[in-house]
Order: sequence, then structure tokens, then C-alpha cells
Amino acid sequence: MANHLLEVIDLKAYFITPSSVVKAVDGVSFHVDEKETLGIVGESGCGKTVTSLSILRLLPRPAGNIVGGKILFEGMDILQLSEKPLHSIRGGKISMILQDPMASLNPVFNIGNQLGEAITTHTKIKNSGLTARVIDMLKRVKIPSPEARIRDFPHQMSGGMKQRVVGAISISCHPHLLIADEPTTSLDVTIQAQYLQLLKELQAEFRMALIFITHDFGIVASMCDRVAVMYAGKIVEIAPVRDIFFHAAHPYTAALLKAVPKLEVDIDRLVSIKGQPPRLDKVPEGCSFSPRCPETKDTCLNEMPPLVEIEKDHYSRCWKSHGRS
Amino acid sequence: MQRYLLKRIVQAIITIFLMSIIIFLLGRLSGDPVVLLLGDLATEEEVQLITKELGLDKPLPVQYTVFLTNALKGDLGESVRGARRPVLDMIVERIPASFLLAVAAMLISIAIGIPIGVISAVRRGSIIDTLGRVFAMLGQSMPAFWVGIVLMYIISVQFRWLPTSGYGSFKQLILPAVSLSGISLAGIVRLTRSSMLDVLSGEYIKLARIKGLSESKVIWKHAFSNSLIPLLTFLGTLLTGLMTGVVVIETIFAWPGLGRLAWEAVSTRDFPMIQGVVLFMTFMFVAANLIIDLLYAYVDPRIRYT
Amino acid sequence: MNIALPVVKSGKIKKVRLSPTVIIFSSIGLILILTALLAPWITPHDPNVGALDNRLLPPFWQEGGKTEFVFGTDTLGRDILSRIIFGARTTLSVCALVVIIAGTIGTLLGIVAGYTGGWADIIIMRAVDLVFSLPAILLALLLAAIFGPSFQILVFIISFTLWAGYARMARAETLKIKGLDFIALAKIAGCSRASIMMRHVLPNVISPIIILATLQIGTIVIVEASLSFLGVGVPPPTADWGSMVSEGRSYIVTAWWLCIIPGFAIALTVLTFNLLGDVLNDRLNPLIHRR
Repeated sequence: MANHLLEVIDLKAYFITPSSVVKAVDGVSFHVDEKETLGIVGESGCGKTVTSLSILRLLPRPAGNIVGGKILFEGMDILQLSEKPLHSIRGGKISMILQDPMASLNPVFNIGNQLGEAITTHTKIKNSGLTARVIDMLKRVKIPSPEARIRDFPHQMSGGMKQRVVGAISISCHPHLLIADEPTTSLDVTIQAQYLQLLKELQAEFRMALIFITHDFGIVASMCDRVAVMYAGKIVEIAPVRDIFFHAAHPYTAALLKAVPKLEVDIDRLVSIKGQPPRLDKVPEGCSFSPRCPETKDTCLNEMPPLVEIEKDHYSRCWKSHGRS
Repeated sequence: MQRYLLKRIVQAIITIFLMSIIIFLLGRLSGDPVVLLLGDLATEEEVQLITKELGLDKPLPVQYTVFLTNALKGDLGESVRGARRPVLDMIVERIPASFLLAVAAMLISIAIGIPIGVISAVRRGSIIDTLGRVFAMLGQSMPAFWVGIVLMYIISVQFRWLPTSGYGSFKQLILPAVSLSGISLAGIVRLTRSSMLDVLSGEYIKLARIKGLSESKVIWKHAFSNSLIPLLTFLGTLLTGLMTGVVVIETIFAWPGLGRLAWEAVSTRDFPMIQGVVLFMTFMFVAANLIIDLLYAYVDPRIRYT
Repeated sequence: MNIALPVVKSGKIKKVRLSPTVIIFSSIGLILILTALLAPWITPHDPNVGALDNRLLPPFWQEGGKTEFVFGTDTLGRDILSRIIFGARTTLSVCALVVIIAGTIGTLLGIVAGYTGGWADIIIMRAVDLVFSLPAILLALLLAAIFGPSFQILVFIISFTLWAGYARMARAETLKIKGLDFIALAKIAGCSRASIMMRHVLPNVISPIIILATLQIGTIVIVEASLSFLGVGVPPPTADWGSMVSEGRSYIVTAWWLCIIPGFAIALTVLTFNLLGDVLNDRLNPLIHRR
């Protein structure tokens, strides 16, 4: 098997406080290849954001701790890196777009300064070369009249613009891997489509691998090559997009897909999954989805199923789907 | 930016005017100034004469205008005690001493307070944090005069490391400046800490880390610059405390500044002097607040454009 | 129309684990208040009367001290402990009066300014800005020079400088809830402006005001002590910690107890109320900025 750009192996990230241990990410493994887009889907609290923060070792201290696993990027284990190499990877080879554009930019510096800073941290470009590069980046993310904009402050821009600036900052050093954590959630629907289109173009141009975290299956369908579905800190299914949409193996995935209302179908009530995700500080025995699973059996309650390949490239963590293969 | 500046300057001027009116009115309330001037043994005739001469029989608004124009020209009257020197001269004499003391105290508070506050926030829960907070709590609870007295007792009297009072050498500056810095130091530590904690949880700090910036850049360039804003607002409150402190500390350490002058004036019921000092100090205070407001606009671009 | 429920918090404070610090300082606070209230009945000696042959006795644990004068005596032979107890009374009465006067006037003006808007708002806020730019000490010096120091003037001056803080906060809180639906409902029901302000706005604004008041007690104590120390606060012979420190200052080498003990009382009081105010702030404030 060819070497993957990013390989996460059995990642475990816990939040440790004096009163409890929350197992936010509990044994997650996946890989991403060059130019590929992997989507990570799941309900709030399933661990997708914590996974992405762990890749760059940005968990909030002192509670957030990576307690096990490996994160191999271009052959190196990120978790073993010392400070300097880690800082050079951040923003350089791996970059991230956060969810809330309103809060992502520092209010007291103008955007030219903030974008320029990203560039000077990883390259030696200065002065007029720097300004040119900043303007170029702004052009790439389709911000009109960038020369005038570089002296603007964040509060003078709209949400959509700000998210583009954040995008510009993230790709300014041509990262090999870009992690986008629900970047369009706080944008207007009309702007969303434009932004996603922009991301696709940038990805093609810079040949980036993209990890796209979302809870929106529509976005998954249009952006992703493969999808990982997370539940209660674990990946429960991971497969190419077509396989997930047309024959999802895990009951949770199936339920999520059913919950998306379709225009052509007339329904009286919206379908939802009954029950709540489990508490991550008191994880029960057995499959974590079984209390809510319509197809649960006794084995499900007692033993946690492993992630098993049920057809080519399609993995599922479900006793029932194992029977299938 | 222009509008903001203008607004603030106009407000400052109005404040000073109002204060001057208050001072003037209170002055007239303090009893017949003529009697004060001439003493109890003056005859009715003499009183009448002087009253007319000083223009004190004119209606109040006229008197006030005279008072104000004099003040603007620099004539604040003469001190009632001793050599009857012009008030303004005596004030100007004492300015350097107070200025030196205030600046020294502020520098100490800022130079020690801010780093402790920042470290406290960054290393939350550590020993430094706990010690810093306890220290700040204690500092805010002890009135300046007590700190001054205790320090004087321990350091000057018991250990004889520093002189108890006087003005002129650097050694003599240390104790008063440290005593004065006490309360503001505590306030700065607490405020820096809490505003840093606030700021450090912001998304843009995460983005700064994502960019790969070194930790010290994240803290000092990004976090601290945003913490400055609430700190600046606090400076205004600080100034008030400083003013009270200055009067008290100068009295204890016999420091020849404006604060002490004010106190001396009160003890000797030297009304023209009090009037002059209060007017002057108010002016300085308002001006300082104005400067702080301007700094505030400079640091926070959001204000500039409103 | 969406109905937003009124935000009056129920008077109960959730039961939370109390740290030992809180328990200790609450007790100290309680003792201080009780001391102030019960002063006339618990003092061993008359605070204002002293016999000259008892003058300058050290505290009982030092050589030469007598157990009947626990903290020693001052230059006029008056018992320090009794003076400290009455000093608590003086200081805490000033605090109580200032909080009530400044708090009431400030809050009411703030609510009026916030709710009514228009000219009332402009005038009141200009007044607030003005007061914020006047330092208390200068006013105190002025007034003391004219009228001589007195308890009433002291309370007046401190209240005068502090009401603005309450007004500002009350106004801000009023503005926050002004647009909420329950106010609209009251207006539709025909309630007069005054009754809306009193019965609907006020209860919702009270909570942060109380926190402000508790946090200000420390400031009031220090200002009162400083003014008395300078001689422009509470006049002699009333026992007051600030004046005691001032009187004892010249004897610091020979009779340290004269000014150290009252100073310690001041510091302890301020510390206690600052801490309790902080704790109260943490518990009652929404958790946005508390960490």
C-alpha cells in the first residue's frame, strides 16, 4: 500500500479534570492521501473537532491531552515532534480553517498585517514582495479590490469576506493538508455555495489534501471523495462517498441519511434518531450506539465491535454488518 | 477619529468649567473673604471699602467671570498664610515632586503588575498564579497610608535601609513610590490576568497558533494587545486612586508635592490655596483622562471609526 | 409573537460546595458586622474616656501590658480595643449609609435614564461622566476646609462620588432588558411608565447592583479611612480607624500598637469584603467572563 499523506493510528484524546475523564476521541484511525478530500461527519460532541485539533496538537490545555496513538504525516509522527518543527508544520504544511469567521481574526490588526504574518512565519519574503504576495492571496480567494482592503480591519468586513480572508491565511503557504472545520456553518446559504466552490478550486490549484468536517450530507456529497462517520469518539463507518450514500452499512449512518429531508418526498414529521449520544465520561460497555439502534442485539450490548473491512475500502463498526461480509 | 477627539475635548472643557463653578461657589460659602483678609478687628467702614475695591459687591456671575478670567491668566490669588505668596507660584514649585512620585509609582505598578498578570493567566493554576492572586488581593486591601507607615517602620526605622523622609535623592523616592504603587499594582495584576484569560480563549488565538507562530508571539503580539483595551479603561480608575494616594503618601513621607500642599492648606484653612490646588489638580486629572481616552482610540481600531 | 419570559432570578442561590476560605471570611465578615451592631454592649471600656495614668500601655502580651487593656491604650489612656470596636461601628455605618444612599439614587437615576431615554438620559449621563472625572479627595478637602470635617459631610462626599457607578450599571442593565417581550406586554396591559420601572425593570437590575455594592465596600472603607487619616473625615473624638492611625503615627517607634492595630483592622475588613464580593460575583454572575 502506498504511503499516505496523513495517517492517524488509534488516536486517543481525553479531557482530564479533577472530577472526570471525558474520552472525546477513543481510538480513531484513518488516512488521507494527496489531493483527496475526506469528510468527517457526526453529531455535535462526537469528537470530530477534537480529532482535527489533535492533528495540530491544539487541544486546550491543561484539560486536553492526547493519551495514545500516532499521527504520521509525510512519514513523521507529529505527536513526537518538538516545538520548533511542530510550529513550522503548523500553517506551513498543515493548515486549518475554523468555524466562526467572526471571531477568527484579531480585531486590533488589519488584515494585511494578519495575512502577512502568516507568510513571514514560514518564508523569508519581506517588504514589497510581501505586499505583493498578500495581494495575490486575496485575489485568489476572490476578494474584490484587494489593494484597498489590506488596510481594513476585521470589523469592517462581512462574514463571508472574513471567511475568505481566513481561507487566504490558511493557504498562504501552500499547505499539503488543509483541515476545514465546518467552515460554512455560520455563513449564509448563498455564500456557502460560493465558498465551497472556492475551496474546490484552491484544492485543485495547490494539490492539497482536504479534511472536511461537517454535519451536512449535502456538502459531503458535493465535496468529498471518502467519508468517515463518527459517533461517541469513534469512527463507526468509513467508505467512499458513493458507498455511504447507496449502501451504508452502519445503522447510525443509515439513520443520519434518513433524517435528511428530501424535497420530492412529502412527509408529516421529520425523521430523527431517538435518544441521546452517550456521556463520554461514563462510556458504557458494548457498542455505544446500541441504546438507540433499531437493530440492536444482545452481542451489541456486551461487546464493542471492531472496525472491519466489509467490502473494498468500506469499513464498518457493527456486528450486523460484519455478518454481511 | 476627529469626531471622537472633538467630543472628548469638549467634555473635558465642560468638566473643568463645572468644577471651577463649584469651587467658586464653595469659596463664597466659606465666609466673608474680606473678614478673612482683614481680620476680626476691621471696622464696618473698612469692610465696605475693601469689598467695593475687590469687586465683591458685584453680582455673583460677574464675580465668577472675574475669577475665571484671572484663573486663565494664571492669577489664582494669594495664600492667606505666611508670606502671602501667589498661589500659582507655590503650586508650580511643587509640581515636579508630585509628578516624579506619580510617574515612579505608575512605572512600578506597570513594570511589575503586567508581567505578573500575564504569567498568571498563561500559567493558570500554577504556584505563580496563586501567589500572584494572593498578593494582588492583599495589595488591594491595604490602604496606601498604612502600607506607607508599615514600610517606613520596618525599612527605615528597624532596618535603617532607607531614609524616612525628605526629597532629593533617589533613595528617598523608593519608599513613597513603592507605597503609592501598592493599590494600583494589585489592580493591574488582577485586571491583566482576567482580561488575558478572556482573550486567550478567543478563536483568533487558536488561529494564531494554527499559523505556527511561536508561543511568545501568540501571547505578546496577539493576546496582550487585546488585553490592553480593558487595561486602559482601568487606568482612569487608577488615576483617581493615585490622586488620593498622592495626598496621603506625600503627607506621611514629607514629600514636597501638590498633595502635601493641599493638606497643609486644609490644616491651615488657607482657602485661596485650596481653591487653587483643587482647580489645578482637577485640570491635570481631566487632561490625563483625556490622554487615556486618546490612547484607547489608538489601540482599539473599532473605536476610531465610530 | 414570541413570548420571552421575564428574567427575574429566583432568590435562591444554588447550593454549592463552600471552600474553607469562603467559610472563614464569611465568619469574619459576620463578626465585623455583629461587632459594629453590638458595639455599645460589648466594649470593655468607654472608647472616649481615658485616665491619663493609664496612657500608652502596650498590649497585654507585651512587657508592661495589663489584661484589662487587651490592645493597650493610647495617648489619652483610652482603651484601644474599645476604640477598635467602635471604629468598626463608624466605618461600617459609613459603608451602609453610602451604599444605601448612593445605591438607591444611582440605581433609580440609571433606570430612568435607560428606560426613558431622550433628554433625561442625556442629562443624567453627562452628570455621571462629570462625577467620574472628579476625584473624591479633592472635594473632601474643599468641603472640609470650609465646613470643618463631619460625619455627615463624609457620607455625602463618598456617596456623591459613588452614585455614578450604580447609575451606569443600572442603565446598562435596563437597556439590556428594555426590548424584551415582558416589558412590551406590560405596556400593552396599560401599566404606567413608573410602575413598569419599579415592578419589572428594578427586580431584574438588582442582582448585578448588589454585586457592585459588595465589591465597593472595600473601596468605601479605604476612602473613609484615608480621609479620616488626613483629618477631613470623621472628626475626633469619635473612634475611627483612620484617625487612630494618624494619631499613632508619631509614636510608631515607641508605641507601635497605636497605629498598626487599627491599620490591621482596616486591611482585614477590606480583604474580607473584597473576597466575599468576588465570591458572590463568581456565583451570581453569568459564567461568560468568569474563569
